[in-house]
Amino acid sequence: MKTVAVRAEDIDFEAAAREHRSFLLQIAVASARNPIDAEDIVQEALIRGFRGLKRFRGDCPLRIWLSRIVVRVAINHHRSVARRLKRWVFFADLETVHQDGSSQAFEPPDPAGVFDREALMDIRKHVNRLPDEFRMPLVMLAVEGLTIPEIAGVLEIPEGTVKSRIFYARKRLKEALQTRKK
Amino acid sequence: MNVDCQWISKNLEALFCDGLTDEQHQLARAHIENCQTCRSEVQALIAVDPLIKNYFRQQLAIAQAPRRPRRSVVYGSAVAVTAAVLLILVWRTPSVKPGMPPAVAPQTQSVPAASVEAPPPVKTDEVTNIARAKPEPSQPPKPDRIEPAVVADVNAPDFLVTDPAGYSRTLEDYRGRVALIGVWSKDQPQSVASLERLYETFGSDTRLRLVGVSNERVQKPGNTSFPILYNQGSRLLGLKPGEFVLLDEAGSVKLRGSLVKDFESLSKLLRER
Repeated sequence: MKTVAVRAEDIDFEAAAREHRSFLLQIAVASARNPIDAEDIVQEALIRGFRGLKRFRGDCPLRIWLSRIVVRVAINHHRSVARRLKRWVFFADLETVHQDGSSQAFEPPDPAGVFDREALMDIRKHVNRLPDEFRMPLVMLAVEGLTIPEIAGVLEIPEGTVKSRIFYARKRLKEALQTRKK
Repeated sequence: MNVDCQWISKNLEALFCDGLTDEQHQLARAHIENCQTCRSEVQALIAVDPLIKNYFRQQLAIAQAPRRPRRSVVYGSAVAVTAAVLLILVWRTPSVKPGMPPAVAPQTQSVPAASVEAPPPVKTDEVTNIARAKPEPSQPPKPDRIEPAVVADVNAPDFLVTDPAGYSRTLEDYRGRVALIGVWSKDQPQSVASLERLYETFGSDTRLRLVGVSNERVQKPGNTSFPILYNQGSRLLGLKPGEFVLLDEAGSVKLRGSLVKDFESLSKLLRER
Protein backbone atom coordinates (compact mmCIF):
# COMPACT_ATOMS: atom_id res chain seq x y z
CA MET A 1 0.00 0.00 0.00
CA LYS A 2 1.29 3.38 -0.93
CA THR A 3 1.66 5.70 2.00
CA VAL A 4 1.22 9.36 1.36
CA ALA A 5 3.01 11.59 3.83
CA VAL A 6 0.67 14.25 5.12
CA ARG A 7 1.76 17.05 7.40
CA ALA A 8 -0.32 17.63 10.49
CA GLU A 9 -0.87 21.31 9.68
CA ASP A 10 -2.33 20.39 6.28
CA ILE A 11 -5.06 18.17 7.73
CA ASP A 12 -8.63 19.35 7.86
CA PHE A 13 -9.39 17.40 10.98
CA GLU A 14 -13.12 18.05 10.93
CA ALA A 15 -13.45 16.68 7.40
CA ALA A 16 -11.17 13.75 8.20
CA ALA A 17 -13.18 12.89 11.30
CA ARG A 18 -16.37 12.98 9.29
CA GLU A 19 -14.82 10.75 6.61
CA HIS A 20 -13.33 8.13 8.93
CA ARG A 21 -15.96 8.10 11.63
CA SER A 22 -17.69 4.97 10.31
CA PHE A 23 -14.39 3.12 10.02
CA LEU A 24 -13.34 4.21 13.50
CA LEU A 25 -16.66 3.01 14.87
CA GLN A 26 -15.93 -0.44 13.48
CA ILE A 27 -12.50 -0.38 15.06
CA ALA A 28 -14.12 0.64 18.33
CA VAL A 29 -16.62 -2.20 18.09
CA ALA A 30 -13.80 -4.64 17.41
CA SER A 31 -11.75 -3.24 20.30
CA ALA A 32 -14.41 -2.69 22.92
CA ARG A 33 -16.06 -5.47 24.83
CA ASN A 34 -19.36 -3.60 24.93
CA PRO A 35 -20.65 -2.17 21.63
CA ILE A 36 -22.74 0.40 23.46
CA ASP A 37 -19.50 2.10 24.48
CA ALA A 38 -18.21 2.30 20.89
CA GLU A 39 -19.70 5.69 20.12
CA ASP A 40 -18.25 7.21 23.27
CA ILE A 41 -14.89 5.64 22.54
CA VAL A 42 -14.80 7.14 19.03
CA GLN A 43 -15.80 10.52 20.36
CA GLU A 44 -13.10 10.52 23.00
CA ALA A 45 -10.53 9.24 20.49
CA LEU A 46 -11.36 12.06 18.09
CA ILE A 47 -10.96 14.62 20.85
CA ARG A 48 -7.60 13.14 21.80
CA GLY A 49 -6.60 12.99 18.16
CA PHE A 50 -7.48 16.63 17.65
CA ARG A 51 -5.51 17.67 20.69
CA GLY A 52 -2.49 15.55 19.71
CA LEU A 53 -2.59 16.23 15.99
CA LYS A 54 0.81 17.95 16.15
CA ARG A 55 2.35 14.60 17.07
CA PHE A 56 1.07 12.98 13.87
CA ARG A 57 4.22 12.42 11.80
CA GLY A 58 2.48 11.36 8.61
CA ASP A 59 4.24 7.98 8.40
CA CYS A 60 0.92 6.11 8.18
CA PRO A 61 -2.59 6.90 6.96
CA LEU A 62 -4.49 9.20 9.28
CA ARG A 63 -7.24 6.63 9.79
CA ILE A 64 -4.69 4.09 11.04
CA TRP A 65 -3.22 6.71 13.38
CA LEU A 66 -6.70 7.50 14.67
CA SER A 67 -7.46 3.79 14.94
CA ARG A 68 -4.50 3.37 17.29
CA ILE A 69 -6.00 6.04 19.53
CA VAL A 70 -9.36 4.29 19.38
CA VAL A 71 -7.77 1.00 20.46
CA ARG A 72 -5.98 2.67 23.39
CA VAL A 73 -9.12 4.47 24.49
CA ALA A 74 -11.11 1.22 24.23
CA ILE A 75 -8.60 -0.66 26.37
CA ASN A 76 -8.54 2.08 29.01
CA HIS A 77 -12.32 2.35 28.89
CA HIS A 78 -12.72 -1.37 29.45
CA ARG A 79 -10.31 -1.29 32.37
CA SER A 80 -12.10 1.60 34.04
CA VAL A 81 -15.52 0.02 33.47
CA ALA A 82 -14.24 -3.35 34.64
CA ARG A 83 -13.11 -1.77 37.87
CA ARG A 84 -16.50 -0.24 38.47
CA LEU A 85 -18.62 -3.17 37.32
CA LYS A 86 -16.37 -6.03 38.14
CA ARG A 87 -18.87 -8.80 38.39
CA TRP A 88 -21.88 -7.32 36.70
CA VAL A 89 -23.31 -8.87 33.58
CA PHE A 90 -25.34 -6.79 31.16
CA PHE A 91 -27.95 -9.24 30.04
CA ALA A 92 -29.40 -6.59 27.76
CA ASP A 93 -26.18 -6.67 25.75
CA LEU A 94 -26.84 -10.25 24.71
CA GLU A 95 -29.73 -9.14 22.55
CA THR A 96 -29.81 -6.94 19.46
CA VAL A 97 -31.85 -3.75 19.52
CA HIS A 98 -33.28 -2.92 16.10
CA GLN A 99 -34.03 0.51 14.69
CA ASP A 100 -37.74 0.17 15.44
CA GLY A 101 -36.97 -0.49 19.09
CA SER A 102 -37.63 -4.23 19.03
CA SER A 103 -34.99 -6.55 20.38
CA GLN A 104 -33.85 -10.00 19.26
CA ALA A 105 -31.76 -12.58 21.04
CA PHE A 106 -28.35 -13.19 19.51
CA GLU A 107 -28.42 -16.24 17.21
CA PRO A 108 -25.27 -16.71 15.12
CA PRO A 109 -25.35 -19.17 12.24
CA ASP A 110 -23.43 -22.40 12.19
CA PRO A 111 -22.66 -22.99 8.51
CA ALA A 112 -20.37 -25.94 9.04
CA GLY A 113 -22.62 -27.62 11.53
CA VAL A 114 -19.61 -28.14 13.72
CA PHE A 115 -20.65 -26.45 16.90
CA ASP A 116 -23.46 -26.98 19.32
CA ARG A 117 -26.31 -24.55 18.63
CA GLU A 118 -26.67 -23.72 22.30
CA ALA A 119 -22.97 -23.03 22.51
CA LEU A 120 -23.24 -20.58 19.64
CA MET A 121 -25.57 -18.50 21.74
CA ASP A 122 -22.61 -17.88 24.00
CA ILE A 123 -20.32 -16.70 21.20
CA ARG A 124 -20.12 -13.24 22.69
CA LYS A 125 -19.19 -14.64 26.07
CA HIS A 126 -16.46 -16.78 24.55
CA VAL A 127 -15.13 -13.94 22.44
CA ASN A 128 -15.00 -11.65 25.43
CA ARG A 129 -13.14 -14.29 27.41
CA LEU A 130 -10.28 -14.08 24.94
CA PRO A 131 -7.42 -11.81 25.98
CA ASP A 132 -7.30 -8.47 24.18
CA GLU A 133 -4.18 -9.41 22.21
CA PHE A 134 -6.02 -12.40 20.67
CA ARG A 135 -9.53 -11.00 20.52
CA MET A 136 -8.77 -7.69 18.78
CA PRO A 137 -6.95 -9.08 15.71
CA LEU A 138 -9.58 -11.79 15.26
CA VAL A 139 -12.53 -9.40 15.40
CA MET A 140 -10.73 -6.78 13.31
CA LEU A 141 -10.64 -9.30 10.50
CA ALA A 142 -14.36 -8.68 10.20
CA VAL A 143 -13.91 -4.92 9.80
CA GLU A 144 -14.69 -4.04 6.24
CA GLY A 145 -11.61 -3.28 4.20
CA LEU A 146 -9.15 -3.82 7.02
CA THR A 147 -6.23 -5.95 5.88
CA ILE A 148 -3.68 -7.89 7.90
CA PRO A 149 -0.97 -5.20 7.38
CA GLU A 150 -3.42 -2.53 8.51
CA ILE A 151 -4.36 -4.54 11.58
CA ALA A 152 -0.65 -4.76 12.29
CA GLY A 153 -0.39 -1.00 11.87
CA VAL A 154 -3.34 -0.32 14.14
CA LEU A 155 -2.13 -2.67 16.85
CA GLU A 156 1.51 -1.69 16.27
CA ILE A 157 2.69 -5.30 16.07
CA PRO A 158 4.37 -7.28 13.23
CA GLU A 159 2.18 -8.91 10.59
CA GLY A 160 3.38 -12.36 11.55
CA THR A 161 2.31 -11.74 15.11
CA VAL A 162 -1.10 -10.68 13.89
CA LYS A 163 -1.51 -13.90 11.89
CA SER A 164 -0.27 -16.00 14.79
CA ARG A 165 -2.62 -14.35 17.26
CA ILE A 166 -5.56 -14.73 14.90
CA PHE A 167 -4.79 -18.42 14.56
CA TYR A 168 -4.59 -18.98 18.31
CA ALA A 169 -7.74 -16.96 18.83
CA ARG A 170 -9.55 -19.20 16.35
CA LYS A 171 -8.15 -22.25 18.08
CA ARG A 172 -9.23 -21.12 21.57
CA LEU A 173 -12.67 -20.20 20.36
CA LYS A 174 -13.09 -23.50 18.55
CA GLU A 175 -12.00 -25.43 21.63
CA ALA A 176 -14.36 -23.45 23.84
CA LEU A 177 -17.31 -24.14 21.57
CA GLN A 178 -16.41 -27.83 21.09
CA THR A 179 -15.83 -28.36 24.80
CA ARG A 180 -19.36 -27.29 25.49
CA LYS A 181 -20.63 -29.72 22.86
CA LYS A 182 -18.88 -32.61 24.61
CA MET B 1 8.75 -35.17 2.71
CA ASN B 2 6.11 -37.25 4.46
CA VAL B 3 3.02 -35.22 5.36
CA ASP B 4 0.83 -37.04 7.86
CA CYS B 5 -1.64 -36.11 10.60
CA GLN B 6 1.16 -35.47 13.09
CA TRP B 7 2.89 -33.13 10.63
CA ILE B 8 -0.36 -31.28 9.95
CA SER B 9 -1.02 -30.86 13.64
CA LYS B 10 2.47 -29.54 14.20
CA ASN B 11 2.36 -27.09 11.27
CA LEU B 12 -1.27 -26.04 11.50
CA GLU B 13 -0.31 -22.55 12.63
CA ALA B 14 2.10 -22.15 9.74
CA LEU B 15 -0.63 -23.38 7.39
CA PHE B 16 -2.99 -20.65 8.52
CA CYS B 17 -0.30 -17.98 8.80
CA ASP B 18 1.18 -18.50 5.33
CA GLY B 19 4.32 -19.91 6.86
CA LEU B 20 4.64 -22.87 4.50
CA THR B 21 6.45 -23.05 1.24
CA ASP B 22 4.42 -23.66 -1.90
CA GLU B 23 5.46 -27.32 -1.97
CA GLN B 24 4.58 -27.83 1.71
CA HIS B 25 1.32 -26.08 1.15
CA GLN B 26 0.33 -28.33 -1.75
CA LEU B 27 1.24 -31.47 0.19
CA ALA B 28 -0.67 -30.31 3.22
CA ARG B 29 -3.78 -29.55 1.15
CA ALA B 30 -3.58 -32.96 -0.46
CA HIS B 31 -3.43 -34.67 2.94
CA ILE B 32 -6.29 -32.64 4.37
CA GLU B 33 -8.55 -33.50 1.44
CA ASN B 34 -7.95 -37.19 2.00
CA CYS B 35 -7.88 -37.26 5.83
CA GLN B 36 -11.22 -36.98 7.61
CA THR B 37 -9.65 -36.07 10.99
CA CYS B 38 -7.46 -33.31 9.64
CA ARG B 39 -10.26 -32.01 7.41
CA SER B 40 -12.59 -31.74 10.39
CA GLU B 41 -9.95 -29.92 12.37
CA VAL B 42 -9.35 -27.37 9.64
CA GLN B 43 -13.06 -26.94 8.95
CA ALA B 44 -13.68 -26.23 12.63
CA LEU B 45 -11.05 -23.51 12.60
CA ILE B 46 -12.39 -22.01 9.38
CA ALA B 47 -15.96 -22.16 10.72
CA VAL B 48 -15.01 -19.67 13.39
CA ASP B 49 -14.62 -16.87 10.82
CA PRO B 50 -18.28 -16.56 9.76
CA LEU B 51 -19.28 -16.71 13.40
CA ILE B 52 -16.95 -13.83 14.15
CA LYS B 53 -18.23 -11.85 11.17
CA ASN B 54 -21.81 -12.39 12.26
CA TYR B 55 -20.92 -11.50 15.82
CA PHE B 56 -19.21 -8.33 14.59
CA ARG B 57 -22.25 -7.31 12.53
CA GLN B 58 -24.44 -7.78 15.55
CA GLN B 59 -22.13 -5.69 17.69
CA LEU B 60 -21.94 -2.99 15.03
CA ALA B 61 -25.73 -2.87 14.77
CA ILE B 62 -25.93 -2.34 18.52
CA ALA B 63 -23.33 0.42 18.34
CA GLN B 64 -25.08 2.18 15.45
CA ALA B 65 -28.57 1.88 16.93
CA PRO B 66 -30.02 5.09 18.33
CA ARG B 67 -29.11 5.36 21.95
CA ARG B 68 -31.85 4.35 24.24
CA PRO B 69 -31.59 4.10 27.96
CA ARG B 70 -31.60 0.55 29.16
CA ARG B 71 -34.94 -0.85 30.17
CA SER B 72 -33.67 -1.49 33.66
CA VAL B 73 -32.48 2.12 33.92
CA VAL B 74 -35.84 3.43 32.69
CA TYR B 75 -37.82 1.24 35.09
CA GLY B 76 -35.46 2.03 37.94
CA SER B 77 -35.69 5.77 37.30
CA ALA B 78 -39.48 5.63 37.11
CA VAL B 79 -39.69 3.73 40.38
CA ALA B 80 -37.26 6.13 42.05
CA VAL B 81 -39.19 9.21 40.90
CA THR B 82 -42.50 7.70 42.02
CA ALA B 83 -41.07 6.82 45.40
CA ALA B 84 -39.66 10.32 45.81
CA VAL B 85 -43.01 11.92 44.92
CA LEU B 86 -44.86 9.66 47.36
CA LEU B 87 -42.33 10.40 50.07
CA ILE B 88 -42.74 14.14 49.58
CA LEU B 89 -46.53 13.83 49.61
CA VAL B 90 -46.48 11.77 52.80
CA TRP B 91 -44.02 14.19 54.33
CA ARG B 92 -46.07 17.26 53.54
CA THR B 93 -49.44 15.79 54.51
CA PRO B 94 -50.28 16.74 58.12
CA SER B 95 -50.84 13.74 60.35
CA VAL B 96 -53.25 15.68 62.63
CA LYS B 97 -56.70 14.09 62.66
CA PRO B 98 -59.86 16.22 62.98
CA GLY B 99 -60.64 16.88 66.61
CA MET B 100 -57.11 16.44 67.80
CA PRO B 101 -55.02 19.25 69.25
CA PRO B 102 -52.73 21.16 66.90
CA ALA B 103 -49.23 20.10 66.07
CA VAL B 104 -46.50 20.09 68.66
CA ALA B 105 -45.17 23.52 69.46
CA PRO B 106 -41.62 24.24 68.32
CA GLN B 107 -40.51 24.95 71.90
CA THR B 108 -40.38 21.23 72.61
CA GLN B 109 -37.25 21.00 70.44
CA SER B 110 -35.21 22.57 73.20
CA VAL B 111 -35.50 19.37 75.24
CA PRO B 112 -32.18 17.52 74.77
CA ALA B 113 -33.68 14.03 74.81
CA ALA B 114 -36.11 14.92 72.07
CA SER B 115 -33.54 16.72 69.97
CA VAL B 116 -32.25 13.42 68.56
CA GLU B 117 -35.59 12.53 67.04
CA ALA B 118 -36.58 16.07 66.31
CA PRO B 119 -37.07 16.72 62.58
CA PRO B 120 -34.84 19.23 60.76
CA PRO B 121 -35.80 22.90 61.00
CA VAL B 122 -37.39 22.90 57.58
CA LYS B 123 -39.72 20.05 58.48
CA THR B 124 -40.65 21.67 61.78
CA ASP B 125 -41.52 24.87 60.00
CA GLU B 126 -43.67 22.97 57.58
CA VAL B 127 -45.55 21.24 60.40
CA THR B 128 -46.01 24.55 62.18
CA ASN B 129 -47.23 26.22 59.03
CA ILE B 130 -49.70 23.45 58.42
CA ALA B 131 -50.99 23.81 61.98
CA ARG B 132 -51.48 27.52 61.38
CA ALA B 133 -53.03 27.07 57.98
CA LYS B 134 -55.59 24.57 59.23
CA PRO B 135 -56.73 25.69 62.67
CA GLU B 136 -58.95 23.52 64.77
CA PRO B 137 -62.48 24.14 63.46
CA SER B 138 -64.08 23.57 66.86
CA GLN B 139 -62.02 26.31 68.50
CA PRO B 140 -63.66 29.74 68.78
CA PRO B 141 -61.99 32.47 66.78
CA LYS B 142 -59.49 34.44 68.77
CA PRO B 143 -60.18 38.19 69.27
CA ASP B 144 -57.98 40.64 67.51
CA ARG B 145 -57.36 42.65 70.67
CA ILE B 146 -56.41 41.09 73.98
CA GLU B 147 -58.43 42.53 76.85
CA PRO B 148 -56.71 43.09 80.20
CA ALA B 149 -57.09 40.28 82.64
CA VAL B 150 -59.95 40.79 85.04
CA VAL B 151 -59.18 37.90 87.34
CA ALA B 152 -56.16 38.64 89.46
CA ASP B 153 -53.95 35.94 90.86
CA VAL B 154 -52.70 35.80 94.43
CA ASN B 155 -49.49 37.63 93.58
CA ALA B 156 -51.24 40.54 91.91
CA PRO B 157 -51.07 43.99 93.58
CA ASP B 158 -53.93 45.14 95.81
CA PHE B 159 -54.79 48.13 93.72
CA LEU B 160 -53.51 49.03 90.29
CA VAL B 161 -55.72 50.88 87.83
CA THR B 162 -55.38 53.16 84.83
CA ASP B 163 -57.37 56.18 83.82
CA PRO B 164 -58.90 56.50 80.30
CA ALA B 165 -55.74 58.29 79.16
CA GLY B 166 -53.61 55.29 80.19
CA TYR B 167 -51.94 56.68 83.30
CA SER B 168 -51.70 54.18 86.12
CA ARG B 169 -52.91 54.81 89.65
CA THR B 170 -52.12 53.09 92.96
CA LEU B 171 -53.22 53.64 96.57
CA GLU B 172 -50.24 55.94 97.05
CA ASP B 173 -51.92 58.43 94.76
CA TYR B 174 -54.85 58.74 97.20
CA ARG B 175 -52.90 58.86 100.42
CA GLY B 176 -53.65 62.02 102.45
CA ARG B 177 -57.29 62.11 101.31
CA VAL B 178 -60.42 60.10 101.97
CA ALA B 179 -61.01 57.77 99.01
CA LEU B 180 -64.21 56.09 97.99
CA ILE B 181 -63.59 53.34 95.47
CA GLY B 182 -66.58 51.68 93.90
CA VAL B 183 -66.57 48.87 91.35
CA TRP B 184 -69.18 49.14 88.68
CA SER B 185 -70.32 47.04 85.81
CA LYS B 186 -72.59 47.52 82.80
CA ASP B 187 -74.66 44.63 84.03
CA GLN B 188 -75.37 46.43 87.33
CA PRO B 189 -77.01 49.74 86.45
CA GLN B 190 -78.10 50.24 90.06
CA SER B 191 -74.52 50.36 91.32
CA VAL B 192 -73.69 52.84 88.52
CA ALA B 193 -76.60 55.00 89.62
CA SER B 194 -75.45 54.84 93.25
CA LEU B 195 -71.95 55.96 92.29
CA GLU B 196 -73.39 58.81 90.26
CA ARG B 197 -75.56 59.98 93.12
CA LEU B 198 -72.63 59.85 95.58
CA TYR B 199 -70.48 61.83 93.14
CA GLU B 200 -73.19 64.44 92.67
CA THR B 201 -73.48 64.78 96.44
CA PHE B 202 -69.84 64.67 97.55
CA GLY B 203 -67.94 65.31 94.38
CA SER B 204 -67.31 68.91 95.27
CA ASP B 205 -65.52 67.93 98.51
CA THR B 206 -61.83 68.45 97.88
CA ARG B 207 -60.87 66.16 100.76
CA LEU B 208 -62.71 63.28 99.16
CA ARG B 209 -61.77 61.36 96.05
CA LEU B 210 -64.50 59.22 94.50
CA VAL B 211 -63.71 56.92 91.59
CA GLY B 212 -65.61 54.16 89.83
CA VAL B 213 -63.48 51.19 88.73
CA SER B 214 -64.46 48.77 86.02
CA ASN B 215 -62.98 45.35 85.41
CA GLU B 216 -63.77 45.67 81.71
CA ARG B 217 -62.46 48.31 79.40
CA VAL B 218 -65.80 49.67 78.31
CA GLN B 219 -67.15 53.12 77.85
CA LYS B 220 -68.73 54.91 80.79
CA PRO B 221 -72.50 54.68 80.80
CA GLY B 222 -74.35 57.71 79.61
CA ASN B 223 -75.62 60.41 81.94
CA THR B 224 -72.82 59.79 84.44
CA SER B 225 -70.09 62.17 85.51
CA PHE B 226 -68.02 60.33 88.14
CA PRO B 227 -64.44 59.64 87.16
CA ILE B 228 -63.78 56.11 85.98
CA LEU B 229 -60.72 53.91 86.11
CA TYR B 230 -59.90 50.52 84.64
CA ASN B 231 -58.53 47.64 86.65
CA GLN B 232 -55.12 46.38 85.46
CA GLY B 233 -55.23 42.86 86.83
CA SER B 234 -55.02 43.87 90.49
CA ARG B 235 -57.02 42.24 93.24
CA LEU B 236 -58.78 45.56 93.69
CA LEU B 237 -58.73 45.27 97.51
CA GLY B 238 -60.97 42.21 97.24
CA LEU B 239 -63.87 44.18 95.78
CA LYS B 240 -66.44 42.64 93.48
CA PRO B 241 -68.69 44.47 91.00
CA GLY B 242 -71.30 46.44 92.90
CA GLU B 243 -69.17 46.83 96.05
CA PHE B 244 -67.24 49.77 97.48
CA VAL B 245 -64.51 50.52 99.99
CA LEU B 246 -63.90 53.71 101.96
CA LEU B 247 -60.31 54.51 102.82
CA ASP B 248 -59.14 57.12 105.30
CA GLU B 249 -56.20 59.49 104.81
CA ALA B 250 -53.74 56.81 105.95
CA GLY B 251 -55.07 54.31 103.41
CA SER B 252 -56.82 52.13 105.98
CA VAL B 253 -60.17 50.58 105.18
CA LYS B 254 -62.91 52.31 107.14
CA LEU B 255 -65.92 50.75 105.48
CA ARG B 256 -66.76 48.28 102.74
CA GLY B 257 -70.07 47.05 101.46
CA SER B 258 -72.54 47.07 98.62
CA LEU B 259 -73.12 50.22 96.59
CA VAL B 260 -76.84 49.49 96.49
CA LYS B 261 -77.62 47.86 99.83
CA ASP B 262 -75.27 49.95 101.95
CA PHE B 263 -75.85 53.18 100.10
CA GLU B 264 -77.65 54.90 103.00
CA SER B 265 -75.09 54.02 105.66
CA LEU B 266 -72.29 55.11 103.34
CA SER B 267 -73.97 58.41 102.61
CA LYS B 268 -74.52 58.96 106.32
CA LEU B 269 -70.93 58.26 107.19
CA LEU B 270 -69.70 60.64 104.50
CA ARG B 271 -71.97 63.39 105.70
CA GLU B 272 -70.90 62.94 109.36
CA ARG B 273 -67.24 62.93 108.50
